Amino acid sequence: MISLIFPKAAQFLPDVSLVLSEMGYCPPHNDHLQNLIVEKLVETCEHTEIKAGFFLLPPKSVKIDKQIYFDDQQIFDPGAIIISQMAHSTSLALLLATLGDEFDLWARSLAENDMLAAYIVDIIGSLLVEIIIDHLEIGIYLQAALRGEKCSNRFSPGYCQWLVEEQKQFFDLLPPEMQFVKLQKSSLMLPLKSVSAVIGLGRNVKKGEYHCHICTLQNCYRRKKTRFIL
Amino acid sequence: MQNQLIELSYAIERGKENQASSYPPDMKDQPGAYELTAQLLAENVKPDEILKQGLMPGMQRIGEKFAAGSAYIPDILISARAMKTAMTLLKPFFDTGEAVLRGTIIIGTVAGDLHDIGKNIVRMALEGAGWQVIDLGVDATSEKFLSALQEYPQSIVGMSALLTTTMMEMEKSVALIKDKYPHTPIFVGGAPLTTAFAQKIGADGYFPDPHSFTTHLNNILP
Repeated sequence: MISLIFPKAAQFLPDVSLVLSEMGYCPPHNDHLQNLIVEKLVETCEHTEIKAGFFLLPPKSVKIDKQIYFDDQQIFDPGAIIISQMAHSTSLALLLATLGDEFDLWARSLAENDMLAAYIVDIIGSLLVEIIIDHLEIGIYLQAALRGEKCSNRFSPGYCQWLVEEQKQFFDLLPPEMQFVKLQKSSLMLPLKSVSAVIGLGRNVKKGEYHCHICTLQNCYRRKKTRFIL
Repeated sequence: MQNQLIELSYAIERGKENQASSYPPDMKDQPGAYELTAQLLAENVKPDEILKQGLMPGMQRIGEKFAAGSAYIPDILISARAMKTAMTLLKPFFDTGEAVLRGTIIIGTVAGDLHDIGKNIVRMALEGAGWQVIDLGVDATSEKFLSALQEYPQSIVGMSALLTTTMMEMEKSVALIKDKYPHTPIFVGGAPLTTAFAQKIGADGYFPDPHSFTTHLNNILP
């Protein structure tokens, strides 16, 4: 089953305090920066062409052992942390969202003359695409609940010890309708502001504690992200 | 003159670009980095003195605040923008040699990787610390780094990667550069990197943020 959305950015824009908090600021906030953020949030709406969706693998087609199998073929080897979180999944939801090429071009053009604006836009872009994926996730949860199924947390290749190279298998599984992001040889997704993720579904799936608390990877950039990413 | 240099360094630290700029609000209508630099030049203060005693200390202080957790990336960028404005007045003196930058650093995001925001922030911080920066942009191959080193053989190299896959490209570039220019210091940065990885690939250091990187460079080449 495929579900696609093509929303306007205005529906999902992060609020100013979230952008400031992502930059590290705590209240009281600097007015100058707040005004700049508002300006860039408004402009973001003109520079995005959001495409997002999820694809549900057929029920009972997935088996979780030490790896993840689809129709008895191994498709993912995400490591012990994710495998334990996905235990008892009998299907998978593959999620993908992008802000589109225009957003990348805009961000790059800003960087030529105004790095502060480019930085603000980069933060807005990262938050916006995550909010869209959050929205998809809620949709998956609701649909699963109607079928009497539960969902695991959301995981992405490149996080929680899951090798980013497995993006290739992820993209190979996507139906043509969801081929709106291009995967590079280096596993980089283009447009840059794109997110891919997988959720396990099944009647006996238990949603575990999330991410950094359960992962032993001290140098994971998710963990370091709170300060600064070079 | 000393007071004017202090005033200039304060304007840089606060990000007061010029008199017309409305930021910061508490410095409204006061002269900014541009006017203060122009005034110092008009009083025949040496451009090198303006750079090293006026501009760079302001950037240093905002960097220290960042390290202490009381300033953030936007604050560094606002200060760097003020510095850049003042530098337009000093540029002719760099060309004639009357003012001298700290040195040259070649930076780039390695081949296969198109992330540039972090690298660009580092570039601004380096320029603010008085370095000439040769920016190779994104998707910079080993050949691009080698070619830049041929043109600027005394340079330091800085590489960035945001993906575990492109970290491997970094390893290749470091090996090729070290083979041809064994004494060139190479520093690396990027979200998935660590000090251990930098050591493993033969780089001379890993830095997680622009301030720690510029501080290290300023220490090895004060």
